[in-house]
Amino acid sequence: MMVRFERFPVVPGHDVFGLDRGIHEIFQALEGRSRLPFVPAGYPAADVTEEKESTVITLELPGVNKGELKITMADGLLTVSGQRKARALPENSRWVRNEVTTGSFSRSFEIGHPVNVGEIAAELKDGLLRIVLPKAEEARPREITVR
Amino acid sequence: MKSNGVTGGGLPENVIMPMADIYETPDAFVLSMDMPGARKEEISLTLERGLLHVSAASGRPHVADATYLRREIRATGYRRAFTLGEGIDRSNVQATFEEGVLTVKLYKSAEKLPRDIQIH
Repeated sequence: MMVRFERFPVVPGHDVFGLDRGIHEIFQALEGRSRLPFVPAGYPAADVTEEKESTVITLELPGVNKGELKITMADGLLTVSGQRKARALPENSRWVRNEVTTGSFSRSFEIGHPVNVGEIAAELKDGLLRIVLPKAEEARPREITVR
Repeated sequence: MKSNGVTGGGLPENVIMPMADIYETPDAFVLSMDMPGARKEEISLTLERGLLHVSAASGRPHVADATYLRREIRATGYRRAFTLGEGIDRSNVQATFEEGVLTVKLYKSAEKLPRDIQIH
């Protein structure tokens, strides 16, 4: 079988900056010098932080409409699903370049503590979805007085 | 600062190339780029010598004293340049930013537009 290697479509003036950095990062990771563990990112890309009173999940969802998004919490699993509609070309138009991924997505996160489900808040702004999951009272850190 | 995973703060700049869609209509080129987290006021768009430069900082929330259990959002900024062909009307460029997507409409110069020729 013949294997065809496709060249990365670099057009002069394109990606003068991004590609280099990406390659640099791969080498750093191979040498074990990366500042981040080299874990393949899921889709959509997410940051999860644990704070004192809550866990915060931030997802990159550019071009996704609020109405096309579903967030559910069940059995300690938070699931974000939805779809990004493919762009419909106007009449008499043609694609020059089409890099943006569209379609359905679904991603689940295991939340390692009991959550105050009634207080979960989500906000979608500038293509970032931010979900705040407040810890249930019993999961919050507390000070214990020594008697 | 706790440290069972990756902690926030102190990360170097990580400017990435945003993904782009470009299509051509009869009278314009429409370019759109995914720039989640960017803020409208912080997007810079310049046209210089046949190049369209786009750059922006991503408003990635930096939580210095939080513990990152997962960190996949890499961009601290976006930057990309596009070569423009002949026939773009430089005085007529429109841009909008919605849902983390920057859309730039570059109109064709009047002389490049298709036109009907009358037969006398």
